[in-house]
Amino acid sequence: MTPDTYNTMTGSEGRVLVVDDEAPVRKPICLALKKAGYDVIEAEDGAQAIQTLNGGDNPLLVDTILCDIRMPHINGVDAIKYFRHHYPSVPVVVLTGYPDVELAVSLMKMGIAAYLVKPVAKDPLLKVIRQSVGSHTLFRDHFVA
Amino acid sequence: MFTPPVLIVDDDPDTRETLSDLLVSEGYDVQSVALGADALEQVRHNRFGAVLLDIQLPDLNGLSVLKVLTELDPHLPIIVLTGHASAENTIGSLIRGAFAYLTKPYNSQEVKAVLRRAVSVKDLAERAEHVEQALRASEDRFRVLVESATDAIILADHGGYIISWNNAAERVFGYSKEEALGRPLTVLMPERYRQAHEQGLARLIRTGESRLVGKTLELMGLTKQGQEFPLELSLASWQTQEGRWFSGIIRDITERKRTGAELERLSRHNQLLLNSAGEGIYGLDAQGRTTFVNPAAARMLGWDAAELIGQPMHAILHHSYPDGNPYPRTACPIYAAFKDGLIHHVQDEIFWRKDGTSFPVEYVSTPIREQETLAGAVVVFRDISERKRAEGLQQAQLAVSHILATAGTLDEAMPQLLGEVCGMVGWDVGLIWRIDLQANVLRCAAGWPPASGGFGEFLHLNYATAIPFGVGLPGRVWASGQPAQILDMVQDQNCPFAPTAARVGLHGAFAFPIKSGGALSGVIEFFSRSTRDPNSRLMQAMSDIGIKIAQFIERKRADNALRRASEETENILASLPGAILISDGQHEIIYANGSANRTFGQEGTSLVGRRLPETLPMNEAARHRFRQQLDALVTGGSLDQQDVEFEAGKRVFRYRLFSVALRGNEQPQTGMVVWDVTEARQLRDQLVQAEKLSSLGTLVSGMAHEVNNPAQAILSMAELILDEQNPDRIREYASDIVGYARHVSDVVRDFAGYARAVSLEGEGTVDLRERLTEAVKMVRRGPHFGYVNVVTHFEPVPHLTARKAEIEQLFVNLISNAVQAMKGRGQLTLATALEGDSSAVRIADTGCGIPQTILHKIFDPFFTTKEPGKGTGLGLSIVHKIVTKYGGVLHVDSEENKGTTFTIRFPAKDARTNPD
Repeated sequence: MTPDTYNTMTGSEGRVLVVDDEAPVRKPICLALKKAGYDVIEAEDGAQAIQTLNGGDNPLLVDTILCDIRMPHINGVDAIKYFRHHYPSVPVVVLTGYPDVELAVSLMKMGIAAYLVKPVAKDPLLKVIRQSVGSHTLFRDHFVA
Repeated sequence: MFTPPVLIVDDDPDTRETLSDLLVSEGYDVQSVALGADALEQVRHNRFGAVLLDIQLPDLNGLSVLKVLTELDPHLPIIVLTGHASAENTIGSLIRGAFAYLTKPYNSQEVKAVLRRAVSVKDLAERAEHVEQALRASEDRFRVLVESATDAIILADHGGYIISWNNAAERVFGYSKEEALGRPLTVLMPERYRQAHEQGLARLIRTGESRLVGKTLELMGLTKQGQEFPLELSLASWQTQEGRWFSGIIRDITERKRTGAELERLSRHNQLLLNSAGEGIYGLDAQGRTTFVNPAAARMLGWDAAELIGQPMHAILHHSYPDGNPYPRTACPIYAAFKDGLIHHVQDEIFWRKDGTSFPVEYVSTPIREQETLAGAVVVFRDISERKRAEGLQQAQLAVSHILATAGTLDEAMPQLLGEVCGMVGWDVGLIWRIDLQANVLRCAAGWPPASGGFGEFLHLNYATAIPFGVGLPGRVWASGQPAQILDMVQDQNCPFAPTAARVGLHGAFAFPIKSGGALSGVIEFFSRSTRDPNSRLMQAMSDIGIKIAQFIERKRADNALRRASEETENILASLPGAILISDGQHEIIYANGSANRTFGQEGTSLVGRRLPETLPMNEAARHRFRQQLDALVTGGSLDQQDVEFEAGKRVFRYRLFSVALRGNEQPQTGMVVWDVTEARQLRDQLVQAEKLSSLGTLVSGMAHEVNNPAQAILSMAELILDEQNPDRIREYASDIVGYARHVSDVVRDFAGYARAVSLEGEGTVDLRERLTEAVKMVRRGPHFGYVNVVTHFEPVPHLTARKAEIEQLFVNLISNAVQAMKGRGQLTLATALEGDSSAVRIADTGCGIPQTILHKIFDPFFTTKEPGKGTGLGLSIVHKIVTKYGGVLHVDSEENKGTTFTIRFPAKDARTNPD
């Protein structure tokens, strides 16, 4: 299957997992992503995100994880550690309220694709997501299935 | 044997006569009376051996007479005679003391027998009384004797307890009779005799033997005042049925001892004098010619006795004064004796020897009388040159002591000292050699007389010479440590100076060490024109002088060391960066180091003499407290050792007071150290500020989240609106945006409120539970909170009067630490409870705990276990400060890997209880 065939099959730009505990943040972002043609999965915290990924048919069919940091149960940092360990090919984009350099550096070292500080406008966000999803679909089409 | 007469009392003349005849024939003297009154009269005035009494008398009742008679003389036997025997009379007379009762007509034999018995009873009774009286008298005499004895007489029983104590004993020992009786003898003797006394006593009781009884001993006694004195004890002991007794006669021989010692001393002195001086004796006739000379005199004068006989004494040995001027014969005290007939005693003249030399003498010239005319004189003289020399030595020693006592340095003292010794002892040149330790030689340090005189050549030679160990006279003294001398150095082939000495006319040399204890510090050397005999007294005197000089050197060295040490101390104190001030009991400054003068005075002037409290630039409150501290120190009160800070302008000073320990009765002094802590204080303030900012940082990062999230929502919604056509949707988004905007506005208002509270808020009532809740909320917003589970047990506690922000900061700091200790996982328990008079707040975590080894340090400022740059180390120190500020107490319980519980107890008194 080629990217084209996949995209053609689903009619989607790619699949994005949006992880944020606050619905007022998560909902508009999901809406914007959907409008931009993405297939969106939502999770309210790190635990749910991991569950969602592991519960799906193929975790590698998620093209980007957009993840908040400060969340209950399993927070963003721990969740990202898990993602990077188990699914290193899936790009992670961090979207956080903390403009914290130390935190950014440590996350970068884990291999995240981007570190965005809230609030982020739709266009820059879509640009980052597009790049991120693009890199993954490229990978997926060559190595998966 | 004398027998007192017998008195017959009977009114019947016949009876009187026959009885009288009977008794006279028996050898008694007899008196007879007819009346009772006469009988009484007789007995009152005369002695009778017995009375024969008729009981029927014309004048008085016989029984009454009997009674009075027995009263007059209880021992007088009265034989009652009566013609009327009746039971009443018989019994009555016997009761009243009659010796016997006879009835008329009497039986002659019976009368004789009764009378004989009666008289012998009377005699016995009298003898008994006599013995008794004699005994009593002897006892009285004994007592008087004992009491008036000048020696202490003490009796003791077998237990060694005092049972008799006389006046002299009281005088000698100081104990009154009442004090002494019943006490053991041991109180009278010094401690060291007591054991021996008790052992001796026990042995005597056991064996009856004593080494001391019957002897006179000299011992030491102990007075009531605890003074020891010498005593002489004569001890006696005897045994009676009641046991063993001791008597001691004790004499205080303090005076005798003293006198004895004095006498002994005197006689020894005289003996010495006699021994040391062989007295010369010669006789003169009335013309002053020598008539006899004893060998001692001849020897002393250097003549044969025969040469002197017949010669005019004055012209031969008394012709000139010491200075060589002629001594006129007419002025001679020796000759004067046989002119004026008086004894002449002269102490300060000289006699001339045959060889032309002289010697000092003391002489007595005693006139000789023959038949009332003055026939001449006897002269007894003594060579006192030794005494003069001894006096000279003594004076030299005194002079040396005096010079050393007043001299500043040895170099100053040396020439004078040498001069004095030379003058006193009769030497011509003196040198002092000191050890040059580097070259290991002796070098001449001083000399006498001045080199400009006649001995200049010899002195210069010595000054220029270094004498090695063991070489020459000084070198030998150095090596041996003992005095040494050369009789004549001109003759001494080993003496390198012999030619020079010969040129200046010096012969005798004597050297002795300057040493005290073991170490030799130099050598003193003297030279004289004459050759001198060794003389032990001189040696001894010079050794003493050597010791004195050595001690002087030692003392100076010690003084110098002390002065150097004290100068060093002074220099150190002066150059210390801290100000040091010492004040006396009146708070007047008696010492101020350089820093003190620079800091609190004017450059170049001293603060000494100024008053300490007024000198320091304090405000009135600080000065008041300072004065109180000073007074407390001066009056010996204790001082809390805490350092105190005060501000003076832009500078901050910290001081500590201490009491300066002084010996003896000197006034108490107060020491004070003052540091300028301005920079340290600024640094600390900056750090405290930094810590405040860091807690602000916690807040800000929390706020960022609180603001950024709604901002994200608002932004997203607004963008959705831009693309949205559906008016319902647009309204819905706009309404959401309004909500988020309000939320942002609330967050900002909270933050501003907190910030204002931190800076402006004064003290008010603080609800501890509310502050805990707020604090945990604030920490929860921070990045480290993680998954910590918060449990609260809030019981009602009184409000606290405090600054809200400070209490919140206190809680934030503790909760932050707790959360960090748990690394984001664990249980945080917050609790309040009323415990007695305290409101207790507990903040417990289940984190890593604090190791015991650092538990005591955690409240120290700047102590941190975090990596460098991660914490200021001020968090807990600020906690401590805030808790203390509001009168609270902070307590920590911690167990490694189990968790830590901080308990804060604020006083709950006078506070309003929480409404719920």
